[in-house]
Amino acid sequence: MSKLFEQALKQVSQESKDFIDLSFDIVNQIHVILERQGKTQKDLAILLGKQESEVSKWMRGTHNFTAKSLSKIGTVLGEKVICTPEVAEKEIENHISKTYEKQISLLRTKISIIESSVNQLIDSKFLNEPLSEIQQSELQVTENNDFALAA
Amino acid sequence: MNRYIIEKYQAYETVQFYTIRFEKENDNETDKFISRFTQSEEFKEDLGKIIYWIDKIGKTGALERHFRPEKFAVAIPIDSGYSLRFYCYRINDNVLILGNGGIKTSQKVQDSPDCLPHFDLMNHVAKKLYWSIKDNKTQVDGLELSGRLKFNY
Repeated sequence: MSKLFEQALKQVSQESKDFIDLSFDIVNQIHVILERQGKTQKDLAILLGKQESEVSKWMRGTHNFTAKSLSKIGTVLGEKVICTPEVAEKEIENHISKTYEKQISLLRTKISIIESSVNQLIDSKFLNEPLSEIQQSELQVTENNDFALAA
Repeated sequence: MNRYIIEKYQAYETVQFYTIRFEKENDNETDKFISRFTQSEEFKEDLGKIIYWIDKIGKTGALERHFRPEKFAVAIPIDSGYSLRFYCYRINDNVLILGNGGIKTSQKVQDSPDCLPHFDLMNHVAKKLYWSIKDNKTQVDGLELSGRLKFNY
């Protein structure tokens, strides 16, 4: 273990760390998209009209990407490379709502059937049973002199 | 003739970093690089990026796509106009030899006197290790190098 390396690592500014982290995240995301689409860095270079060496230079994790180059990469690959947290949140919400729309609708129908059954049960208790059969302790007199079932 | 040793430098879960140390010297080449540029106000920030980059590589793996080929060896380039170069030799995703580096002042490294000796040394190390591994005099087992690790320069 090198003490000098450890000391130097502790002294790295947050700005430098953030730059390298972001650059790594971006190239890893491009790599993931390329793999998913079965494409290589060479394919990306052709799509962008660039030299392969230029694209290879970007993929090292220290490149200072511009918004223009990132949007162009996204356009040629047909997928966004980066996304702000706010946009990501909305896209996730949309995705979830689309995915679970049917299940939610089905659940709502079931809840409504259960509600209706419960109401029918409550009604039948009051309509079919003589009042005398309802124990006195279950009934309370409300302020308006109405009867109510005790909780 | 100078003789150098390839010795362990920094260990991570995914990558074992080695460095180069001349037998007659106490400091290894990577520590010399850090000592020199830590004291430089102009390059302190670039050094920080290289150090943090090494730390990232240590955690994620020395993947080929992260390196810039420099003859036999590879360099850690910090883009966007930065001129500090640090040389290394990637054996595989798990073993990386760290060297020394300098300020690149020209398009061709041959015209950058501050970089050239470190570039030449790393290319020497790369060639020696490449053939030594090929001839099975040096063995690579996971994150470990063993066998022949001393070479004449």
